Amino acid sequence: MSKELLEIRDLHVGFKVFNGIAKVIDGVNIKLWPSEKIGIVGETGCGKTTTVKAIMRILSRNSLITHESKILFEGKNILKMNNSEIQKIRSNKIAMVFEDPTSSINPVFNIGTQLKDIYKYSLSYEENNPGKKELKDDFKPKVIQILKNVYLPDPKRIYQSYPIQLSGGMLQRVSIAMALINKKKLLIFDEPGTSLDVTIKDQIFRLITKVISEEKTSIILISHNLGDIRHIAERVYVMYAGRIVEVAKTKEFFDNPVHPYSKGLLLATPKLSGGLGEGISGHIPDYTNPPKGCRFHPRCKYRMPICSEKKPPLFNIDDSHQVTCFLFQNKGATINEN
Amino acid sequence: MKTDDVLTVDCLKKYFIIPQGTVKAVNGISFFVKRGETFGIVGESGSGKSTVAYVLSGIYRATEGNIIYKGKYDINKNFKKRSSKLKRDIQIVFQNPGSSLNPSKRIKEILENPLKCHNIGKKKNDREEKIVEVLEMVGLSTGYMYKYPWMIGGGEKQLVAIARALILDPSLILLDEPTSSLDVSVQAKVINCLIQIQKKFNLTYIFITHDLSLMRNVASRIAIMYLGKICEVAQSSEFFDNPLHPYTRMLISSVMVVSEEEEKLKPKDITSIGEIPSPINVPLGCGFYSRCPKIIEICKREDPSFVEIKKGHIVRCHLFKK
Repeated sequence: MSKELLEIRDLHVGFKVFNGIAKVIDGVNIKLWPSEKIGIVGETGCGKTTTVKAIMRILSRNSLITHESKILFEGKNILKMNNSEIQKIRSNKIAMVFEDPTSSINPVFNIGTQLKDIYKYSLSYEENNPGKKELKDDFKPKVIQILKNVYLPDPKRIYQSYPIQLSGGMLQRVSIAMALINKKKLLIFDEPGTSLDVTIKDQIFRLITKVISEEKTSIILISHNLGDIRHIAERVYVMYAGRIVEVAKTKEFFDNPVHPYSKGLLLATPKLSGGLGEGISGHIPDYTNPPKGCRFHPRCKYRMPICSEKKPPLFNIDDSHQVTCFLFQNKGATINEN
Repeated sequence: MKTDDVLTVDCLKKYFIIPQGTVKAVNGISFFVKRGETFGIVGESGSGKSTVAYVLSGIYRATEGNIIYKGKYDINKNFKKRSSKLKRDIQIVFQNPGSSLNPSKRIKEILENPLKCHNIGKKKNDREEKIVEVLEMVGLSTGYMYKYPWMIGGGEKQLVAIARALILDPSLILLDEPTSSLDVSVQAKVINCLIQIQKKFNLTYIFITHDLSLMRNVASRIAIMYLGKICEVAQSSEFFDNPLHPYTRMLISSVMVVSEEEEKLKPKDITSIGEIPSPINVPLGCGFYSRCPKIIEICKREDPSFVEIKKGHIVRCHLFKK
């Protein structure tokens, strides 16, 4: 297999807060191959967004990342990069689409100006830096073409409109257009459909799949909705309280989830064919004082004495299916070394 | 008018006048709700479903139409002089518990307030007894009485909001997207709690949501709203097995499902396009024609009327005209 595009190795992120340090991300390992689509799923507040913000290096000032943490993008550690290197990555390699388009787009500039600026900026960071003459070019046709690519009706009108004049669905398309303005290696979607209606969300997801199949970009999709993940991702990472608890291929995961938390999530999702499970009692732990051992054990139905003492390692179920749960130690699963 | 109808709504209209024109948020809807059932209203944002709940609970006064409660009270006629019995009987639970609970009051005070307003429980002890009783009903321990809303999680806050609605012994509860701000694991708990309480006290719910898979598991009858009008009403099972209106089919086809079994239920002939038009100055004809893939000539000119397909299954579409 070719080399990973992105590898997150032993990521630890904490936040300085009033009553100590909130240890939010605790040893996350994620691998992403070129042109692969992965999904990260988990409840609100389990650290999904923090993980991807660490990739983009847009965490808030009170965040702390340990020295052992590594985020390797094409072999280079993002966390050790200087300012101009990270700007280059942000403008030409990785792009992120945020949950709420109404708050991620600047309300005081019109859409055309914003897209034009982003395009100009990304050009200035391109490998073969263009001359000043090219930067003075008229970018309007290019921007209108990009707006057409995301199937926005009447792109000329949208070019001149301000964000307030567009609906949520249209704005989300604009923010996808911002991400796609030049060819990226990796796109991160942070709950792209959560603030939208079902029919609009369906359209946005179809747009994402279409664009991706054309451009062969890698994707990280974050969502708390299992249906979204099943729709787009090839591999699923389930996250709970800042740790990855299960990794599996999408089909394998939905047919046979093994971690008690994944099972609980899948059961609690209401089914169109009828059926609604019990839900998981309890809530996400307090990060300033997280439970010892497995962070899920206070909510787990199958907890054993060992769960509250030791942090469970990653056990192999098979080649592509791993889980961090001591239940599988007894079943003879081997520990994953990488 | 049947005797077991808790609520009959006839040609309800609610218009808002704004500088740009008239917003026809609810534009002539009629339905009835039977005792002990869960009547679901589904629709996209901007379809007017919350406005219906607000009109029924007396927050807005309807522009036109009759709302008859239990065969004798006309909610709209005596808008300003609603009897306190009626106010007690119809309760509402809002979408976001974070903003519907007063952050500076303890849970006990939040729950005590409705009792004081309606002069229930003369003594402090009586009121406290009642508070403990409803907290138990929603599965919260009595320790929650002395907490503030910001100290507890979203799911628990919503349970407190439900307890506040239950404390006055209502018979009709309007649930306006009660779980859309919650995680699935918590949502399942809240919904199961609601279903249990309903069975125990024979309550009637009007459940408003945009989540169709949730609706499948909660509602006994479902109405679909689009642009202030109802498109289709049917029994829950019939609704998902045999959806007729193109909009219903579009909605069901856009649900992101988690298993192959559900995938089979999704209509394949329709994909979602376009978005809901502005409810200001609605054009002539069927409101859905701008997005409808099965549009015929008449749709642009004439607003369709309801056609009964089966008993209890009505649809408002020109395609099914006999």
